[in-house]
Amino acid sequence: MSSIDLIVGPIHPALHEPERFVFKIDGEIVVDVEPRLGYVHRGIEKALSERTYIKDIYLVERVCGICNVAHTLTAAQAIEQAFGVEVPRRSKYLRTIVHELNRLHSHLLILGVVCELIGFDTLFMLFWRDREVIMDLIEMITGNRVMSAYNIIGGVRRNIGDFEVTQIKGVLSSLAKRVKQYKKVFMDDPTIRARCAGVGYLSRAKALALGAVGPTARGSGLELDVRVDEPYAAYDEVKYCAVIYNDGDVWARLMVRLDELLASMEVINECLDKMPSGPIRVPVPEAAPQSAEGVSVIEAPRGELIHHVYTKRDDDKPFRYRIRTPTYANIPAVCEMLKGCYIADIPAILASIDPCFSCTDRAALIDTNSGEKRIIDILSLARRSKK
Amino acid sequence: MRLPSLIREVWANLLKKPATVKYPFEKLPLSKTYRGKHELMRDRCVGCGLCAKICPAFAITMRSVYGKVSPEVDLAKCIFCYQCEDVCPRGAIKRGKEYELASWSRNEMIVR
Ligand code: SF4
Ligand code: SF4
Repeated sequence: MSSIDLIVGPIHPALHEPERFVFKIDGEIVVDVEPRLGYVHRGIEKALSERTYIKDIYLVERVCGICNVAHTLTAAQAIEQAFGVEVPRRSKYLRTIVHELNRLHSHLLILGVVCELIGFDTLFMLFWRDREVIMDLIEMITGNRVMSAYNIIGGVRRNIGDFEVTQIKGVLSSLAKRVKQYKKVFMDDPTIRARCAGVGYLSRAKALALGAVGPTARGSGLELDVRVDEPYAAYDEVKYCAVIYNDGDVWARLMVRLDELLASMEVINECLDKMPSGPIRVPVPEAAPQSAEGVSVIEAPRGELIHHVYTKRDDDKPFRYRIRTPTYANIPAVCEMLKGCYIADIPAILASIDPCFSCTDRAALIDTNSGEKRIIDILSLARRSKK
Repeated sequence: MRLPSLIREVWANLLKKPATVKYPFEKLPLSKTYRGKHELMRDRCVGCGLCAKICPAFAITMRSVYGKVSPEVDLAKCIFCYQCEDVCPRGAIKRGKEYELASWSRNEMIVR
């Protein structure tokens, strides 16, 4: 039995970002998938060690525009750990609030995109209309709709007052009602059930073996949520339970996101109620006070995000910076999901992991001509880059 | 056959005003904290150059005009983070509200 190669990408209408997938197909069924990453590689990790810490925060913000708060939060936490700085409690709460607002808009965005890909344009419009109110809230708090420039090393840049608190609460309570309605639609609408239920199945064992993270893992019944496992920012003081679905299909991954919307709103409300008063930032030295290492792990909208920084004493630039993003970890899982599916289901399955290729492509040492992969230890990499 | 539950929402939206606005004629209100085009107050500036040093996008150059050194912001490079406002010891850089910044030439993108 011979199979045909179907090449999707790097530029293709079904993908929103440049990435290439080679599907081996037999009739209408996908037999094997070969992803080829690296089209939007921008050398950010190297650029980070060429700039000062203050500038780095704005550069990591641009690793991915959609989850920019997640990136700045992780970077700030990692650098604070290496510097040995403790941030005020109020800023931890503010960080949590903006981080969760960021998650709300990211989840609403991908739910809309999936609806569009399965041909349900009405729901796509409704999701994106509702996303707009969240964008307005983010603009009110941070000063811009998308690029928030909110977290800095040592705290946050802007405070919120009573007016903002009542605004946020009002918007969230009306949004929660609508999200509950959409959840009902997702539960029983025949179009959505037909296109999503049972499609792109990933078993719990496979998800664990392939190292899936975030909503992809939670849709397959894995209890993996950094907010619960290793609470950061204010999560150690607010109530939060991980949302788990056991079905392992596209529908389950979408339901995880819908339920997380409601859970995020509860977290924001609780943070607003509990938020202590006090300063929002502490002064931080420009240069690293010690040679140290900082690691920070958070739950970004797409899953676990890790930033790792090495500092050098009295140097205002990091010695080495490493970012590990959730989509990168989910690529093996999505290849597994795609095996055995129909060609028409490919876009929905790809979108169900909420892929963000611009955050995936940063550091891969693949020789394009020979396809050879090399592993280099950190010191020789740093030595090489300093040449 | 049962009607999909979204039909009610669709009906309600048919009777409502559109959620969008007719942009060039009608504009959405901006938030108080909005970060738009810079307003430079040259009389306050002491020419210390801190803003040019900290700018993450290398958008600020210090130029001397009639013997006074003051910053120039290239909006084509600027990422509107307003780190320059944070660092200025004299409060000479203010957040403006203007956001329609397209122009025909690079020269017009420079705020002096
Ligand atoms: S807003 Fe940011 S990018 Fe723009 S000039 Fe100021 S510091 Fe530079
Ligand atoms: S930091 Fe302020 S005072 Fe110093 S050069 Fe810039 S605008 Fe002028």
